[in-house]
Amino acid sequence: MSKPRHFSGRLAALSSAAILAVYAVGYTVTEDAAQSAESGPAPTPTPRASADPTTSPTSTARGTSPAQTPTVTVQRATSTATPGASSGSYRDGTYVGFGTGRHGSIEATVTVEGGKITAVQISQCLTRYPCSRIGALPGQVVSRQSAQVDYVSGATDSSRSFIQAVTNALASAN
Amino acid sequence: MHSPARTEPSTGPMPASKRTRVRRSAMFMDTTVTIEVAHRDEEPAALDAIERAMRWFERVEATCSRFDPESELRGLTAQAGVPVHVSALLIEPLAFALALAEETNGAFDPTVGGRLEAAGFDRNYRTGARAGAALESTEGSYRDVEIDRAASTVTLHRRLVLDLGAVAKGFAVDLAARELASFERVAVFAGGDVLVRAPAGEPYEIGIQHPRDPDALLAVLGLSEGAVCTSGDYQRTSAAGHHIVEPGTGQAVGGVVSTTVVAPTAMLADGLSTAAFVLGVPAGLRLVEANGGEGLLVTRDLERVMTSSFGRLAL
Repeated sequence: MSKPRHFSGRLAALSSAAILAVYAVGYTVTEDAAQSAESGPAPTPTPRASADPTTSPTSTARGTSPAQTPTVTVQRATSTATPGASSGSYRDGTYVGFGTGRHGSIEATVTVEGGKITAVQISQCLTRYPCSRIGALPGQVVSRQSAQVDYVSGATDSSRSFIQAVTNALASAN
Repeated sequence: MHSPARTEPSTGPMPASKRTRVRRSAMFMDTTVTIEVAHRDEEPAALDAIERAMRWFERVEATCSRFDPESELRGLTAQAGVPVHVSALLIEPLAFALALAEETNGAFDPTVGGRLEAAGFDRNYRTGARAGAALESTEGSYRDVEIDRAASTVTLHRRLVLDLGAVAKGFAVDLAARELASFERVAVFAGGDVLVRAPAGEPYEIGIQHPRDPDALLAVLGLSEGAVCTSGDYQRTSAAGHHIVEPGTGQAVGGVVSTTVVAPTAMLADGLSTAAFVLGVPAGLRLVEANGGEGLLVTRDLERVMTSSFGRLAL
């Protein structure tokens, strides 16, 4: 990538997310390594009742299989969300940020062109649950020009990690 | 195979309060693994917990060993060109190793296995059997390895032998330490890797082996939480040189004779220490610092070079 990449913390985050990822698979239950890799937690989709029909993911997140269309309940974040709020102009470039929660880490890659956020990707999904659950959030960052996106019901920890990852990425763009 | 210098386990002073201390050792990954826990209450389950923690070394070794023809890692070499489904125990340390390779522009490279075999590092320490893949060529780099996390697959785009020796042991240390999360004081020693967790104000003392004088310590660190890894040029040698080789040439590396890295996880300390050994001074120190670690490098002239805050860890 020719755009600036900010690596600090990437290796540290990968190394701690790796521990969680292995524990999430549950080796203590199933001893056979090959088997337990396949018995990882499955996504549990909930009926769609979106509070914001205008949001649609504008970027494909790696780790999100197209077949797993996100069917999640989106709730408005209670306090901090200021929908549509733009944090002003950012420096052009591609920025990478990490967010870490109880269930692992998320790396977000944010592209800024002409001072605006034009693309957001979940470039690494190192969480216990598939990032397809928060597949709508990258699109919200673009439409709101802000990291203040909705929390996804049933995936609040991943949502929080994602918001933190985007916030960290944008911190380099200010 | 990364087989770093011995970091002497030397436990710090125990406070007067009643703590039960339990310590066990076992042989894994061609090194002695020692786990020690201490708890304020009577802890009848301590031995069981240590047993569970030890199992992680067994699992990681069975999955990631370059010397075991039955390991998942070894199985990849036989199936070059197609995506192979692998377990989290392989894909996680491999993803880390590839990220480290990317960051060091290949100075660290987990595809160095074929060249290590060519240099004579091909014997299983348990069985003595040779475990060579008889590669047509030892060329290839980390760029020939593709991982797909969503599908949990690894694709080798050419026939090569992966070597996760530089990160897998650290990863096993991290997994073992997490198994022991309920204990007040935990120390996991595995060859040159040490991970400790202790109440603030009661740090472990960790001695760093001097690279040239077996009876001397290079430094003694006081650490309450974190991992230390020391890599050296003096422990494992073959006719062709020592065991840390430059990925491009397969030749043993020069420049420094010992690197020590302190980092939050053992896998990070392990990987950074090996990469810094290859990069030498000053690039190795820059890498360590950029990734939130502290490092101490010893040059061939036995000059000590360290990151800005390393001195604060020394006792």
